[in-house]
Amino acid sequence: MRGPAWAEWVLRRAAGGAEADWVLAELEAEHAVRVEREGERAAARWYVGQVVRSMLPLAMRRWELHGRERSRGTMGELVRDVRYAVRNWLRTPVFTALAVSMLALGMGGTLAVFAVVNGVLLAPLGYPGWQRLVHVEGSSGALHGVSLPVIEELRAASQTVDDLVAWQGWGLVLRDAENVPVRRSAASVSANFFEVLGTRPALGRLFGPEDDPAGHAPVVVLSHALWQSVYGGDRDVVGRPLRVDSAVYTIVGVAPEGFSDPVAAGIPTTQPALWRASPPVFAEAADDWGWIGFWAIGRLRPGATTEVASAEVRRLIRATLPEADSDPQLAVTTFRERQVREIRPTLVLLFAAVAGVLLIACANLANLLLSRASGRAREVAVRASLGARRGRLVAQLMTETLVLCLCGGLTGLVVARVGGGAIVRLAGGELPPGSDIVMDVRVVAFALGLSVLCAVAAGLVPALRLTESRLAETLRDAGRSALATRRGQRFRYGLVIAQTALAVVLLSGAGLLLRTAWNLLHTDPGFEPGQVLTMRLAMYGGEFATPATQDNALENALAQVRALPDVRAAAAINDLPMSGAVNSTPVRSSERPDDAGVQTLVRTITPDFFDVLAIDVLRGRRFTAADGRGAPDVAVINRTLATRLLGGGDPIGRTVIVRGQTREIVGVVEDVTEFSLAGGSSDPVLYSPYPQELQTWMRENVTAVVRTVGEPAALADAVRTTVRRAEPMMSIDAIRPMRSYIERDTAAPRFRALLVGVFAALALAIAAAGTGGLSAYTVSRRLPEMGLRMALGATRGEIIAMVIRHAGRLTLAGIIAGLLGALATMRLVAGFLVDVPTTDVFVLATSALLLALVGVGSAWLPALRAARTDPAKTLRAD
Amino acid sequence: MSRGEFLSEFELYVLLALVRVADGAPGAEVRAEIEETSGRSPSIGAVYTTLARLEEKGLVAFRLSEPEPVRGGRARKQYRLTAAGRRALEHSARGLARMLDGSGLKLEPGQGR
Repeated sequence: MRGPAWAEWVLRRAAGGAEADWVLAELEAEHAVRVEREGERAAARWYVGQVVRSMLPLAMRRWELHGRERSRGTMGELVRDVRYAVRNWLRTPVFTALAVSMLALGMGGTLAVFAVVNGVLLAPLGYPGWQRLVHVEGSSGALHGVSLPVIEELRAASQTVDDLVAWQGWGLVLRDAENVPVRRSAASVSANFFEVLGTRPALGRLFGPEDDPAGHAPVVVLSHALWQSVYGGDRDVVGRPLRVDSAVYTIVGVAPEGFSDPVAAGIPTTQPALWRASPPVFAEAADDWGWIGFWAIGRLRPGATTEVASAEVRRLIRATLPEADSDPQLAVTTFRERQVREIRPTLVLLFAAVAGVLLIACANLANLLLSRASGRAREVAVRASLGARRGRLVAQLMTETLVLCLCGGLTGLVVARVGGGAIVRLAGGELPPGSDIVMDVRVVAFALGLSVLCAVAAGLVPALRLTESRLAETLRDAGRSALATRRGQRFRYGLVIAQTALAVVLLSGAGLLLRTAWNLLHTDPGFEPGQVLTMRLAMYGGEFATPATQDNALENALAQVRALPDVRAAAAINDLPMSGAVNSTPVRSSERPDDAGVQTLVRTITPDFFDVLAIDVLRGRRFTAADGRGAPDVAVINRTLATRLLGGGDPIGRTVIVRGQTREIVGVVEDVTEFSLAGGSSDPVLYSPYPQELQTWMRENVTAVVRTVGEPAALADAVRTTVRRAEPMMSIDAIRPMRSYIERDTAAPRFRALLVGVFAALALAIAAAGTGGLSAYTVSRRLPEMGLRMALGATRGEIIAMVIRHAGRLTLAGIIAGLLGALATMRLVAGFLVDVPTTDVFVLATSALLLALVGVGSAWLPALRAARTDPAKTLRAD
Repeated sequence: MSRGEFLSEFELYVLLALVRVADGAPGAEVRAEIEETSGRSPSIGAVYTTLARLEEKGLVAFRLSEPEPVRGGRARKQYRLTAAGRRALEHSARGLARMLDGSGLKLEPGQGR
């Protein structure tokens, strides 16, 4: 007999549906007996007491069963779903392959960029405690470097940076096995260099406190590469002498393999072949505040930040500078910051581009899933009617999407391997040396996370849409489902419009970058780089002890080269424009000798130099053979120096003071690009005749320039042989066309334009697939309607026009949205642009046009298909 | 359930009740038997869930009875001991008996309540 209703209700809640019935059966049986025996009230009291006391055991039992069912059930369900999903996808292999390919391309791009980031930005640097190692950077205009007195001052007084090391590039000539002179890049460093970097020697020892100045014996440490290539890895090199110029050094050790000199890595130069400790030139430069040819590294004190250190360093130097010198812009940056500073904006740009491609791919996938799902509406509705909960159905559909996305993600890893490698190769000098993509656990985890994200982004809404259809309507509508409702359609249109808009934005970005690269490649550097061959000549050693021997040797070599067929002219300069070399000093006008002067690039040249490079002479004359040693000291300055130092007046005849020497200005030439095409040509330069130049380091190392008939590279061997024969003691290397310096300078903008262009093209293709797919779907859905129209007299042309118009409207909406988006976001790439406005009309118009063509073009096939339908068939099939 | 395992105290009561009531007892009868014979008054929920667990372990089995011939009558599960259940019961009871034997406790029936 049933007891109080509320008690029954409580019991049901505790026990759960099925079990409750059994328990109630027993309870009611005994209840009936008690009612007979003790009366209703007592029986009711007993009933309630039983319910109360049963609640706990029943609830525990329910929990026990539920937990068991859940673990077995959920795992089992998952496995079943995955198997079902795989079978399902395999049933439509073409569709599946296309979808996976699209996902693989979209995800692969993102993974490739991440793999590069992983290898470049996230990999630890090779020095112990690298997080606190810093560069102390200085700049004066476009010129970078600090002077030795600055380093000494900081060493003595800084509270934020310890263990300062001075570093200076050192060019020297070594004889190789055949006694042929070979020029090498090396470095001079203070004795604590290796100690600060925490390096261990591969052989012998590295520099230590005993190698400080104050009467130490000159010592060098070889690089591992040099030790292998020149000494064949001979373990007996320690203690051997090394003759360089007139000095004899003792080899004390070899640096470990893979050691990277951090200063050399940061400036465009090759890794040093060897290092020498505290050379005499350090003592000479110890008081020269104007000689900023040095670099400094150090260690940040614990607790200090780079901002605090930068401020302190600036304050200290400003307080101690002799007044005559201009204020160097000092900054303290960590090794990591310096390494990634150049590349980070580009990597961010790439990430944005691949994210755009991925979004477009996901939108496509969502649309594909919706099309596919509409064919399964009946199946889903029937399952729902048999009791499957909506959550269960959605989970099953999401599993399908997830399986697809995981396949895309795993394939994407392969794409990333290839693509990432290509990116690193193309990036060339943009990435820190030795960078490579790193495909490790992080990348795989990122791939998995991305797959899940894509599955949710693309699959959730279709799954929800599909499972909300109401059964009766679905079964009645013969296959048409809630997806065909207004809301469903609007969602799909929205996806296509968003895709188109994104594609427009990406294309605009690529267009702007392409335009920039184009501009740079066609920027006039102020000289004529085509058909010019360059090479570095070095005159070190006893044979070139006096300036006169150097003059003669250089003139002899150049004369021999001029005699070659296909050579129009030949000359030499100490530092070639755009080679990255910096040799600067303040130049003052004699009329105001106590001024601070203008920090100027100093060049020494042979007379034909301006002709070889076709640099315009604006006023006055060039140098001639008459401007030799002993003749009055003359100089030629460029337009910028003339304006900055002497104002508007005629510079000819006026005199300037350079490194203590007074020179008369005899000519003015046009500015040339000294560093980078993007930076323009406005650095002050002063040229002196080679024989009149007294500073040895400006004479012993020159770059020869040769104007050729035809391809410069073709003459490389002939020139090398000629110089070797003419001057066997002169070293010649780095024979390259002048063009190669231009190419190196434009490498980064070209790289960016290429990569973003590739991604934009990919985006365009995927968006085209999206628009085309929607048109095809719309046509197939409206086939009966078109059949009707044709039966009522519409021509094929009218049907085609209808489909095209429909696609055109969507594409137009997307283009408008995309143009608005581009106007809003292009400012983010402004940092990469040179002479191109972020709202460049030409670029925007081209992007719009491309999308229009693609959007309408992709609707062509579906339109033809629509027009080809047989009205009788389509009307019958309804 | 292996030969080495012993029943819990309440499982012992339930199985003994089943033995006493003979074949095909529903949960309410088991409960009543325990209450009347031992003086212990378990809830129907405790009895029911113990029977369900014993059934999972294979010590009891049930069959469904016809629904009661009254309005809203329900079908009921009727339990009986299986051979394995009988063996387990004897095993545990023997162990208990050995503990009781020689313990000095006065065990005459009728001294409950």
